[in-house]
Amino acid sequence: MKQKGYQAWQMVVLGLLAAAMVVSLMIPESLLTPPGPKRVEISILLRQGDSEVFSTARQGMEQAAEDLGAELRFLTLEAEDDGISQVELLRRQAEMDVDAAVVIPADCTALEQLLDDWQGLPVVTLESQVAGAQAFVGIDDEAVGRMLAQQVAGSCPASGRVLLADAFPGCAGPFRRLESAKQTLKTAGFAPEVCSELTVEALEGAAAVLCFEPVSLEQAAALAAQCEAAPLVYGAGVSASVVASLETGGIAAAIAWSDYAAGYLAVSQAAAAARGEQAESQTLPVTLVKEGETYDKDHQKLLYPVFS
Amino acid sequence: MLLRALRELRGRFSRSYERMSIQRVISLTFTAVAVAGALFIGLSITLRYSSVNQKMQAQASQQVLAQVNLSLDNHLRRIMRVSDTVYYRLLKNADLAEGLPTQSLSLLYEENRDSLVSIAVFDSKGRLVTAAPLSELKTGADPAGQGWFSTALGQIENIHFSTPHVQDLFQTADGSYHWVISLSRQVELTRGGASESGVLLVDMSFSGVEQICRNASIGMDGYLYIVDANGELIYHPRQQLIYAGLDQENNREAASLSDGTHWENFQGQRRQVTVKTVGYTGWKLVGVTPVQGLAVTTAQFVLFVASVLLFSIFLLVFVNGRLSAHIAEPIRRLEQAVRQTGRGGEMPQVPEEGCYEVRRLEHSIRSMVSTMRHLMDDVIQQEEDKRRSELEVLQSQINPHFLYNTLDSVIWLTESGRYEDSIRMVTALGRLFRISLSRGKRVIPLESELDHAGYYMTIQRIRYKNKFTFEIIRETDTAGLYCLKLIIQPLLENAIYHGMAAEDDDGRITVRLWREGEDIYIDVTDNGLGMPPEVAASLLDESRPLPAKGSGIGVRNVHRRIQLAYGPQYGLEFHSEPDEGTTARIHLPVLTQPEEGTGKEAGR
Repeated sequence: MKQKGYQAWQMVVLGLLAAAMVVSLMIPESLLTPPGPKRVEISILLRQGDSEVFSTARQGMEQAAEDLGAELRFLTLEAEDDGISQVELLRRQAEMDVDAAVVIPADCTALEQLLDDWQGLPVVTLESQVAGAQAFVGIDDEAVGRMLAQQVAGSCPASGRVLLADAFPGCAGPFRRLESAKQTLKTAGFAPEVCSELTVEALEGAAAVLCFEPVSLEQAAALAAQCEAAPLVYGAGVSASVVASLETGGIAAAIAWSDYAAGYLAVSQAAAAARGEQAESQTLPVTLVKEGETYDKDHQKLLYPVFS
Repeated sequence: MLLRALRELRGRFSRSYERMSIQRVISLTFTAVAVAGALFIGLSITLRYSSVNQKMQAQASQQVLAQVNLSLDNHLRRIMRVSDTVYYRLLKNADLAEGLPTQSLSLLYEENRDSLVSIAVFDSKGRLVTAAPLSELKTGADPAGQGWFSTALGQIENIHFSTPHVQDLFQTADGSYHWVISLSRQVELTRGGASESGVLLVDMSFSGVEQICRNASIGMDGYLYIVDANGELIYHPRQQLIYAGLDQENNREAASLSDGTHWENFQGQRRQVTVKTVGYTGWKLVGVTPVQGLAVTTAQFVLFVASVLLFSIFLLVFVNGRLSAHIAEPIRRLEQAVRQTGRGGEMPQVPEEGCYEVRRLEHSIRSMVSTMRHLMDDVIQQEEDKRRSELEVLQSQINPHFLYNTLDSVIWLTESGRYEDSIRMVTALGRLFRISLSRGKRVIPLESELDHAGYYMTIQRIRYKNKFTFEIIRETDTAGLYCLKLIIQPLLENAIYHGMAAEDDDGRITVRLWREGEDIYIDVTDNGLGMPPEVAASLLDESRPLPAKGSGIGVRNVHRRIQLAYGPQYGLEFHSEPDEGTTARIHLPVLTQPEEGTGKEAGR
């Protein structure tokens, strides 16, 4: 009797295993494959309405979004450099349950005030490092400021008038570059002047003008071309216009870095933060490109995105 | 350490093996072998499947590469046809001094503008001869300093393809730039009838190559890229990431690979790499498939394999259990039968089943058991016969002594005229012999044995002229008991010879018997000379020589007969002191039946 019961159990187990074998063939693969990383929504808050300057960074962001399963939403401000609007826009993104945001700060102070003890959503900043953000992707601002100042010191007499363009006073990154350049120039015996608004008149007669982000650099190059005695224009950051000016000599030298890499890394870190992973700040390498060097083999890859 | 652990494991296995039933051994062995076989076959099939899968993937990669190569070849041939047309149709037959073929060049450009960025002709100094669609070099442009120019003039017999680069020859109105691949060749220009060397440059749009390659997919995670002969990237789906330093490719190594399928490890990842060389450019199409993409171990496959394995193993265990039970059951029954036989029982009838060897074994064991039983019976019978014959020999040793002496006395009495005594003696002798014979029985009633003693003593007293008295004292009731026959008479004989021979007329011999539980004691006591205790103790010692005089042999015979019949705990004892007499004590088991055998058996 006991033996028969044992045999019956064996037959039941055999039947179950056979059924499991058949079922394993019928289960769709998708049910068995662990789902990929959660798709996250990331808002990109640009500093300016005209996002032409950030077009290369945008390509990098889109590539990162494709690689990492993120959905991007590019948002521009109604009024350029309106830090308050940017903060409000960021707050609204949190209310809309956006997973993370990449911000190119228009007003670092306002943003810092928001991020202080704010649990709205993870924020990664580009260009300017802001306290309270999960991560920052950008360059070593002090080093860039020093490099630009050294270029001026190497090509202009110390007695020459050197203008430092402070086009976006609310942006901490360009401001740090400016401060670093000013300090270096002063150390070299220069008396740099900080100029909040670039005009032909202001540039006229200047030995050099230093800009610390590509928007003012484009503007300075254009204004310098109108001057009778054009100053040497130096700057940080590149755009198509900046590259064209570098090629023609409108800009004497520029510190360039890969906006594509910056955009890619910013979205990567934002996606990581959105998924609860550790986001890390990334410092990008920079290259000094002088007038006429834009077609150097390595510079081509940096200045001319392949898929423009 | 490992050896010791192995040795210990082996020892434990041996001990377990020794305790295992044959069914379990067969079942485990079959299962182990079958599972090992199933795993081996499964592994072989998986490896084979994996190998075939890899080959198929390699073939698929090669097909994709062949397709891309065909498209790329068509594209490049189209560009080369443009170059050939410019050279052989427009430049070869034209004298530049008479006019430039600018219009024809523009028309040709317009026909191919989807693929071309510019067509330009330079003289050997790098000066622009003609170009389309733009005809003015940008300020500072230096064609002669560029690689495509020097290569064309350096190797005049070939058409040369450059790596992708940004064109920096012509001034564009909007400041836009173009990534191009330059096709350059040395051309012969005619100017004013004189021939001179020049360079024809056809800049094709990089996007043309990119469009051809972009949609080529290899497997799930595979991709395709192009390198030139030096390993410089021509196209890569993540080209900008590589240029930005965010990604890397093993392009230098790939450039050294021959056409075909290869394996490489790059950044900790094993990859299948398929290479195909693009004709006349020196470029190589490289198809990359990470090994994960080749893996057959999808979740469904793993689940299926696990299910099949579990099912197979359980089925094997089940079938092997049944099979081993079927094989081992006859052996188990046989073993039980043998064990039962070993305990002394009859060998039970085992049903004839099982394989040939088991049946033969059962027959052999049954035959062997039967033979053993017969042999044992024979041995027992032989032992019994031997004992019986020995008893009979011992018993027969008594008679000649006594008969001789008695007949001698009868003769003497008759000769002396003592006919009454002679008659009494002969009568006693006759009765004594009747009891001695007892129809051949060895065990007789105790009363008969006492009568036998009495007759014997009657004869002896006549012979010894009543020099001693004789008395039988029954201290307990011994009626209905049995004993070996002729065990008292030799002791009486011994008492007479050794105790009474030297007495005058006051000799006394007493037979006293009593029962204690399951034992009977019979003391034969005389008041003769006696002997030292050590001599008395040595009377029954077989190793000691018999006394020169007397019937010591008879005493030893009695002792031996009792012990042969009932065991060593029974027999005779002698107690004696010099001048005080001797007591011979017979120790017997109580026998209530006349059967022969050991004391205990007979006593039951």
